Amino acid sequence: MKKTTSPLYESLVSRRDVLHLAGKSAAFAGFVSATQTLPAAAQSAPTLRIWMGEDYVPAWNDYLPVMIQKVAAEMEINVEVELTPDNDVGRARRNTALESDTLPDIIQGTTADSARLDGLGKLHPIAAEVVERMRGTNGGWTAGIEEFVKGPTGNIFGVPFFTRPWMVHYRTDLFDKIGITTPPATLEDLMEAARAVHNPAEGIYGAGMPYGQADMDGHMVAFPWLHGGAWQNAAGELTVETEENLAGLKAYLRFFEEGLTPQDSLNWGGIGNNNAYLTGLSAIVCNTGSLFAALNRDRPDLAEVTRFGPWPSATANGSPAATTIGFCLNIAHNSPNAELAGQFIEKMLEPENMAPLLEAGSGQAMPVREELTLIDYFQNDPIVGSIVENIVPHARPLTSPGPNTPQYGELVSNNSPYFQDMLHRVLVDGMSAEESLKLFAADGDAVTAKYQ
Amino acid sequence: MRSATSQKSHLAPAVSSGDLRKIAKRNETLTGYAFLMPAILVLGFILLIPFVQACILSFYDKPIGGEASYVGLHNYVATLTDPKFATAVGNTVVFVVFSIAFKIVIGMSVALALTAEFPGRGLARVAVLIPWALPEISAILSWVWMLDGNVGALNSILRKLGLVTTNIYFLSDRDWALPTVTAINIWRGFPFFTLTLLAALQTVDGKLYEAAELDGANAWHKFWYITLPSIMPVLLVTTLLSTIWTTNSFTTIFVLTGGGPSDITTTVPIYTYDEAFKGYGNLGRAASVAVITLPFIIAMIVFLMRVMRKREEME
Amino acid sequence: MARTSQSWGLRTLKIGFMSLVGLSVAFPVYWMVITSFKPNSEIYQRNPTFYPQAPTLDAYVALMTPHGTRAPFVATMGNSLIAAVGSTLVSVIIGIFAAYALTRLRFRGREAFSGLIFGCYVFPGILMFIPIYLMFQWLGILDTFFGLIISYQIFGIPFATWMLRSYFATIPASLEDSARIDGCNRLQSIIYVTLPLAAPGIAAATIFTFTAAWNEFLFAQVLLQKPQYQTAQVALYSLLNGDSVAWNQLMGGSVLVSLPVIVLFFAAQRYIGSGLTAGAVK
Repeated sequence: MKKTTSPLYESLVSRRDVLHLAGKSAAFAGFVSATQTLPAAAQSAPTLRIWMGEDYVPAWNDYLPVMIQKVAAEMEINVEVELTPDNDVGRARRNTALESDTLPDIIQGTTADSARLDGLGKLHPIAAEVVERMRGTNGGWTAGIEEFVKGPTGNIFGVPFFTRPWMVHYRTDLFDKIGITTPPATLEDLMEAARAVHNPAEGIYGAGMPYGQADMDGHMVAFPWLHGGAWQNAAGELTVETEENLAGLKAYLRFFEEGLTPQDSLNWGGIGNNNAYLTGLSAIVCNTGSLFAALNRDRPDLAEVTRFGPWPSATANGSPAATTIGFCLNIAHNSPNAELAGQFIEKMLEPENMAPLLEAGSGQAMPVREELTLIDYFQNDPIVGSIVENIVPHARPLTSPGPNTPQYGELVSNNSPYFQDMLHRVLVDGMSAEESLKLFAADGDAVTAKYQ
Repeated sequence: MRSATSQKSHLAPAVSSGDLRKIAKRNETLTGYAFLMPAILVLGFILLIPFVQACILSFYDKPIGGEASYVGLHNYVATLTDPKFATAVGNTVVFVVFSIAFKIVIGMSVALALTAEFPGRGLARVAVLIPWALPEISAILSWVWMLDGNVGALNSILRKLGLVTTNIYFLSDRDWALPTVTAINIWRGFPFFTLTLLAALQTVDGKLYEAAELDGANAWHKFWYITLPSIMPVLLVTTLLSTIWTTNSFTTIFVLTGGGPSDITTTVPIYTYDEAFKGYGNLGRAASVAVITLPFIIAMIVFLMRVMRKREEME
Repeated sequence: MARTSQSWGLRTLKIGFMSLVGLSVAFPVYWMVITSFKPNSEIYQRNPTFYPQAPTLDAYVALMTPHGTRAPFVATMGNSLIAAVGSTLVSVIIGIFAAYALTRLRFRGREAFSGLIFGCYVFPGILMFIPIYLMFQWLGILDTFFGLIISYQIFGIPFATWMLRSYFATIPASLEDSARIDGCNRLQSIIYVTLPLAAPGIAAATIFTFTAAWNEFLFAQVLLQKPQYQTAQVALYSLLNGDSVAWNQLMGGSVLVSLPVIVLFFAAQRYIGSGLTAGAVK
């Protein structure tokens, strides 16, 4: 483990960022000075308002606005850029813009949120043209990425930006010691591994699974897949009450029922998940690169002994899976500069601008452009390389195997309360899994009716 | 105000002729309106329009950013027949009653204790207000961390003191969750009582106590017959305000438990929030919850005004 | 007041109770302060440490460094100060006149007005911010401190008015009447008689409205959109991004953001606690 010299720098960027930006700092400085030396666009030049998501990694937040300023300077336009956080206040802000029809020209969103904007008619159709145009540049899109931004009629509503897969984290120091190979081959093996290290008296829980509102997409969307099921079919119709889904639900409940996960995982403080792993309380956890970024920052000792895998398949007709959140860039339906916004997005995604951003993301942002997958970072970095090798092949959009529909997004996307209700009915109120699944199906029907 | 007027006429018999009284009354009315005008203008402007809009919205299905479609009384029927709503109302009553009772007792006791002379009193008076001064979000978040069943400081302390042998899951246990969120609400809310009552205690006439002592009154008598009646108007307003705030209190429970586990700590504001923003939201449904609870809050306000007026008349 | 002799039991009970209250107040504060001086690696441990093993200023340094489009924390505190001072002045001044009218003057519609002022508590804020945003957009006062200060009157005016009303009610009108007989006009009698007597109440109302405005974040986030106008509470809240929390920064920011309020408490407690009016009445 390398010690960095400046405490400021230490807290500013994660350890891995230090390693990576060390090589890139010249390029980074180049960007900064480029934005300072380039002449500002004339007052009369058009202005684009841009809202991007604030990320977990400070380096990303530092670089992204600089990159946007650089692109603006090159295009000789003005930009007003802002990063909004992923929390309730940030959501209030975005909801207000939506309700008042004042979305910025360019807005970053998850594909589920963007599908909702599309369903409300708030997105500009020009995004499809941009996606089409970009098929022919920089090696085109990565395989399957366009599925992420397809609406119910096969329409493309946004321009893919990056993806963020959910990864199962394993504490190799605990598992290697007792001769258990990670990642395990089947879900049953995973549970066996969890039982083998489970020792609450010593403060070690086998697994950290969330049973609250957050992080459900990485878990409750994936578990039916592992058993050969899914919450919707290819036509976009909800398929809730099936044998496979019930098996997935029961398998998920078992972690709690056996006590393999801390009781507070019912709450949404994150103890079932992030915090459980960060504090060293649980030996297995599933999360996105946000956890890994936090590990690098706060518990580099644990980051060193972490290995990644997808959720292993549970049955013969299931398959390993990693739910993957897609992020895309959207253009507001009423943007006066839609064409310009399209060109702007195209330029942002060029390898020259995008590669340093993905590196700043330290493993939580995966490329959507072929040429970007070829950069040294994704090819040779030991950790990110392992993600590319072991997780990305099993990555599936949240909606798999169907399209992005508003009803599906409302029912399953992150922070939807319906999963929590289903789990708590069983674990707190003592209802049977079958009964609870039935009520979840009823919720699904109600949500579907809302969008008819 | 009846009392003031009558006192005035006693004090100034010279202005009691009919015409003059009429002029005085008209003047008083004009002054009254003039003094109230700024408040009425500002509040009418920022309150009335959203209020009327929300009332109208309660008859519509209205996803955020989507078209509103008229659904008649459907939102009201859906809310009133939702067993979750009944649970939320029940939880709210328990939460509010216990919160307020403890806030009054603790807030009053601390205020009385802080009127006594002792070294460091100034510091203590400020320190006791801190729970209420801290930014709510981070104060509550640090409680989440301290109350954690596995890695929390409180469990660690209780274990070290030998008070518990197994961890207490304050926020996810069926039996602990509601008492815990209530306790945190009391922790945050009692300083407000201390602050207002401390200020009110300063207006109590010291001579009354001296007179009472001469009559051989004990501490309890003095509190019951002198202190309490003197600070009653302030205590009433404070209690009512705090009751309304506690009834509307959202952030504390939202951050601590989000209303869980299951619906055990779901209060009406949490329920309203869920309805407004659950999935992609339905503002109309949430507005219907607010309209349904409206009469209860209005009843509380009317009750307060009655009591206030009675007290003023007794003066 | 507590000059009479008390039994030992009562005194022990009293001391025990106060210590418990003191502990419940002090411990969370102590916890926040020490957490802000811990490195995150010490916070994320299974067994909490009760004092920092390796105290560090990392959290504060990081807070003071501008990140992304976010201003340094001190700058956001400046914005909060503008909003909080502005809205406190407006609330308390408007509140003094309104409360005076409601306690001292008799006129038609008085009771209705005092009830209407409470209207703000009838609807939850989460249902208010969207209509207010739309209205401000129409008026062109989005992204201005003026607009934010106006929006804070939703809770500021009702509170100041009712609080002051209850304090005014404890001051006998006869004092003011005598001043008026001595030749003061109404405004003079308010300024020279009523206000000084109500000083503890005004101080309490000021503290409240300031603290409430200082700690508000929902309207601030929605009504002020430019990053350079971000208030401290919004900046604090944005440290909670997704599920990854920089705890030491969050606690450090909380400590910084609490300081001005505590300073205000110190300044105002002279008025609240000094018993200016004790004995002056009657």
